Amino acid sequence: MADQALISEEIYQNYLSSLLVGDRAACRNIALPLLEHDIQLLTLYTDLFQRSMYEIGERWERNQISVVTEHIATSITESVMALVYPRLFAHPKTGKSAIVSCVVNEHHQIGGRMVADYFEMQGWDSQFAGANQPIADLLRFVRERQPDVVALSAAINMSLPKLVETVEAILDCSVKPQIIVGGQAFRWGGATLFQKLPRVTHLSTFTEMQGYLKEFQGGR
Amino acid sequence: MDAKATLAEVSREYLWQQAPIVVLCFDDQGTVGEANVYAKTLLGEAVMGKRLNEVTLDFAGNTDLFELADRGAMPVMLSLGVPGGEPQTLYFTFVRQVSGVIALGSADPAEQGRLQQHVLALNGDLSNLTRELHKRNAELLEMGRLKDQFLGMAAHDLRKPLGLILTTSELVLMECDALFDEEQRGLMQRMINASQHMAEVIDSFLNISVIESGRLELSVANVAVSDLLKQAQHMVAPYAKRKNIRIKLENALGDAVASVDATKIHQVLINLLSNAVDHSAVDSEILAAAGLIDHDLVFWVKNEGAGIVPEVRARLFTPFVKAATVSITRDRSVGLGLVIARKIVEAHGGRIYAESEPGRGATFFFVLPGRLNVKLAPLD
Repeated sequence: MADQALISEEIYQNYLSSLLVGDRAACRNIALPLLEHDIQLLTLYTDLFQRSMYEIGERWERNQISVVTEHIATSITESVMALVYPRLFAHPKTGKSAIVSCVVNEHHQIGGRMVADYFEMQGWDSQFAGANQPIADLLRFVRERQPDVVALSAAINMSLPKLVETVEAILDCSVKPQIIVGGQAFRWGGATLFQKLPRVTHLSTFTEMQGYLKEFQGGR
Repeated sequence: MDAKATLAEVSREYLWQQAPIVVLCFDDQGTVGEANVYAKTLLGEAVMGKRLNEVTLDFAGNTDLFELADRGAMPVMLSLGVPGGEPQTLYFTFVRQVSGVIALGSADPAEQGRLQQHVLALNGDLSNLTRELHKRNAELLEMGRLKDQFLGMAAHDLRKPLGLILTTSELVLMECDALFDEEQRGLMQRMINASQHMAEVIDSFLNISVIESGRLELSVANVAVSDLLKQAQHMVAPYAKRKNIRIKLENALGDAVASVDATKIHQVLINLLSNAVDHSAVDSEILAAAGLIDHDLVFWVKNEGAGIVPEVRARLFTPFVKAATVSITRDRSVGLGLVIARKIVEAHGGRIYAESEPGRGATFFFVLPGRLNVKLAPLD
């Protein structure tokens, strides 16, 4: 069965409703059979986790759900994502490594975590530094790990100035990784802030990221 | 509070000073003219003079205060942007006044209860998972310890009889040389070569077993950097000579001395040089050098071989990984040499890494911070 067919509209709507009422057990019970059917992890991430969280975010912006409902839905999604880990970390490795982080004062970490997991799906060794990372701590981590790529995630537009500051600090660092920036913060623009910076690429989707990593492994 | 205060006065005072309810009084221009203590605490003093869509997170840009007030008493869900904190959703009631609008907003207690329940359930799951992870981790550590113990014991018990086979074979070949024809001599030599290879493998296992069990102890003393290079060159030179490879030395540090475990650093240099010979072409040159990187002592070994592909380079210092380029001589290693080298360098507080491009050779560096003792020139 095609992966997309595994997540029917009915399954998706059930999952979304369970997220909205904060029913963690129901969400797990929807995700587990999909994993048992060996669904591709990327399909699970994009068609279930990402799609539902985008919808939750939009509903919150339209004042249809509260912050609390949004927080609980995020927390449930993160716990369901953990079900994937036994499969995720068993992927064969390419030898490339990445650090994924959210900028300081950015508390929305789920997008960054999905990116970190996507690196693992592609055989990269990824370290997720988490939400609200002070620049100095991140730089120390980068110097210590010497990754091929640092990916920075920002979920809200207000985080963009800090994102620019963080990118500039990494560009000045003695270690010289490539830098990816992305996240929902760019929905209202902002990509041009990074256009002229060397070694920095703005990516919007997993498909774009796939192309980027392919090119990278081809010998960047 | 005045004992004669009416219920209305008490309620007003409570609402204005203490209640966890946002009270915003908008004037007829739609800007905040008055706010209670809770509103100012949540939104800051700067809330005064702001419009409703500047106080709330109005993504659609269509929050109209007067329209909401005209809609009636039905509470409206709005999220407030809290300076320096997370946004908060409150349920607002808007009341039209002769001049302006009063907005009263409070959190939904049922929702707070739901959040509390969710946090408690998550915390419980997290604690259980943490416990399980620690338990698994302890089991894995114990399994690792048993594996190292087994490896060490097996290697140790194999070493003695193998040593006996090796010395006896060498003795037989030496003493009975005249009795053997060429084919028999070749067979004896093959036996000796195979035994020597097995002895090297066993030594690697023993080294790993000692390192992994945390029993790697350094015996640090001052040793001349130039001596470390020369002794390693001396040891590997006969092996290199078979392929007519020249080992060139470069020492930028003159007679500087280093505080290291000489035997172990010697082992690292020999490993890097032997690997370089394995991966170099006949009639080529290998460089063994010492110098400084950011004031730290660094050794490097450079070969002109086929180089290392990037995918392998990142994993070179992990167990059982060998360079993906074909070894020009027959590669008989088990893939532990560079792991042992890394562990020795790390035990000295240093780091080891390789730089290479396929087709352009490879250079292996190891840096030993704080290990260089600069020999001072004698005073006149």
